[in-house]
Amino acid sequence: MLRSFTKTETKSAGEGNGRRAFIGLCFLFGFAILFVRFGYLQVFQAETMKLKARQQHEKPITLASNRGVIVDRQGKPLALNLDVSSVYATPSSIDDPAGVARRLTQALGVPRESLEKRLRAKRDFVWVQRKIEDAQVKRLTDLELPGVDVVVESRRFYPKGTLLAHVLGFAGIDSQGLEGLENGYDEHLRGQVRQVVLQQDALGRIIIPESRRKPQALSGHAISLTIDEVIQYIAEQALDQAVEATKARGGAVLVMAPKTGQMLAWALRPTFDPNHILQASPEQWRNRGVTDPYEPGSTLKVVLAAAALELDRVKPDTLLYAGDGEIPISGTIIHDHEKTGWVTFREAVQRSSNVAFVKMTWDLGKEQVYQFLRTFGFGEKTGIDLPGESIGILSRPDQWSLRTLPSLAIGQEIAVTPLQLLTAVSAIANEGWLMRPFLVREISDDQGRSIRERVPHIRRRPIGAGTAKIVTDLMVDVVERGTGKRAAVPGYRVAGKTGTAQKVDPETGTYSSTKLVGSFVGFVPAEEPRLSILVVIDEPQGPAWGGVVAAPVFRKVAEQTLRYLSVAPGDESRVVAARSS
Amino acid sequence: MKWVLWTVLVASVSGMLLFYVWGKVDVVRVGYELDALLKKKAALTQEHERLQARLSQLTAPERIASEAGETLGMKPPGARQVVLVPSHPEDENPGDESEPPLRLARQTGE
Repeated sequence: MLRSFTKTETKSAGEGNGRRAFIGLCFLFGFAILFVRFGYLQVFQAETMKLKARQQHEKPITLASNRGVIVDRQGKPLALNLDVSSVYATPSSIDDPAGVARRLTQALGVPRESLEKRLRAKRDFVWVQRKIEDAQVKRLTDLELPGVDVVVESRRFYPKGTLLAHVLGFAGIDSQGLEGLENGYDEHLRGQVRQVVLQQDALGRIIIPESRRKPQALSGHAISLTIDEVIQYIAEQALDQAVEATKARGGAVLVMAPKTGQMLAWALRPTFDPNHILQASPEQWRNRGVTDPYEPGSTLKVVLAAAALELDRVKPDTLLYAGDGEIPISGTIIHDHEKTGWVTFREAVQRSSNVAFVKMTWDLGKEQVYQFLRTFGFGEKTGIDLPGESIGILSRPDQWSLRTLPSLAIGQEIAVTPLQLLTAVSAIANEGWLMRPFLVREISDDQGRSIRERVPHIRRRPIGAGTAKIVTDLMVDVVERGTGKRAAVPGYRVAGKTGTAQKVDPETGTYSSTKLVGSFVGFVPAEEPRLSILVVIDEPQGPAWGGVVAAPVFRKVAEQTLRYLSVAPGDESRVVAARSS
Repeated sequence: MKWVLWTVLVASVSGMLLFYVWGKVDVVRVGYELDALLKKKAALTQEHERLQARLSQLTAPERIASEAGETLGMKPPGARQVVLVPSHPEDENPGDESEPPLRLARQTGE
């Protein structure tokens, strides 16, 4: 019995050992499978797994820095930034790209096919739509789509709308400067864009904000202009009224401080709103103040008069014979507006006698005329801090025809930008010193510390102070007794010159008798110039004389600006507007 | 004695682990709070920028001119409504005592 029992016990023990061995083997096999799988995932699938983990835990974001603000000389903002929302997606977190694309299309109105294609891309980050409206953000948030989120970006905003649009230019969707100062000073304005990776939990919440560990994106530098927004408004308003009254194709009013070269206003028409750039054409946003040369007509005579006086070829009382007001030039006839006969040089400037000036430039000769035009800055860039400046058109004397010299006497066969002409006349106002015009006064960092301050820069001195004073007197006569009477500002001595130029008809290649440019350029007060102003009215309908269409605009701008700047005539006293009590 | 020693050891290790986990959890909690505050700050900054832009629009010369002219009926002063005031009182005629030496504005009767 005992023996039998022992046998049974032995048998049971053997079966128990076998089961244990079997279970042990199962465990061993199971662990072996796990170990192999673990090794496969850790060794062979390591990169793929790492990528998946990263996609789940990390949230890559591009932090676009704020562009620097642009302010006028009084610190009034002309270009600033607004925060707007942009939608992005993480394709790896989206299980149903087609469904998500359909719902996004309904919420945001983006094209479905291209969106779905982007959502299927094997990328960590794709834009869905940039810079959307608040209502769209709410619709999107209500959808609670997985793998789709909103990030705040900065959008450029121009609070004054069309004011100074051509100078400011505009920035693109990625806050890159595309035109005007936005483009020219993009390096300063744009700041530093930064890529950051945020850690998120399973619900997509940020675990540790990135700003705890790294500094925020650096904002761009602020730019302070020489432009004064009030003078700019005065210039734009006067130009608008003139363009509307004359039904002109366009126009320009440029205002400069002649002693320093600081631009105070820069008005061009037609214009555009940089907030709605897609509604404007390149034709509208081109800065014609520096890009489009035109034939200046008689306004160029002040420069030629300065040359003749500087070379001592004439004096204000020198008699010139203008005959019957006609002079034949190489097959064509140059006319005066009236029979002139014998006139003094002073009267020739006053009446803008073409014949007298043709004879005077003949006397000067090709080389002298060319040299003086060059020293006054024609045929070269003024050096203003705006992109796309033209040098104008001034050919060398060895390329001139027989007609070129007399044509130059009346401001033809030369093309100048409005800024070149204003800069040249400002040199007369500035005792002969030719300044480099500029628009940016100061650049400062985001803490308000000055980085660069611009000081006036002298380019050269085409004429002496004595000559400048005589030319100024001649220009005052033009306003007080000559063709520019409508530019006179009560209480101030105004120096100026009118100009009426024919435009070349592109169809015939000859000067048009109907397409004209009326202009006036001058400065005030003549004895101590504070403002030099150029007015150009392009293709006005009806009378197109510069003294008729442009001089009144000069008067309006000068009168209001002098009052705004508290400039009193003749002395240093202040002007205070009295108000009825 | 050995049992007590083991108990103390296990309790110490457990306590350290709990402290470590507590610390980690607290960092995450503070992270969430910080994220919420940063979002609030961003929203306030956004509102500030929007108000600045609005202020800039409202103080634009064009709007002020329009409000002054159309709403308040104001217009630019005429030539006889502008008075020149010397910046240096001594420049004025000393014999003329009927006028104050310096004034900012006066009625011209126009």
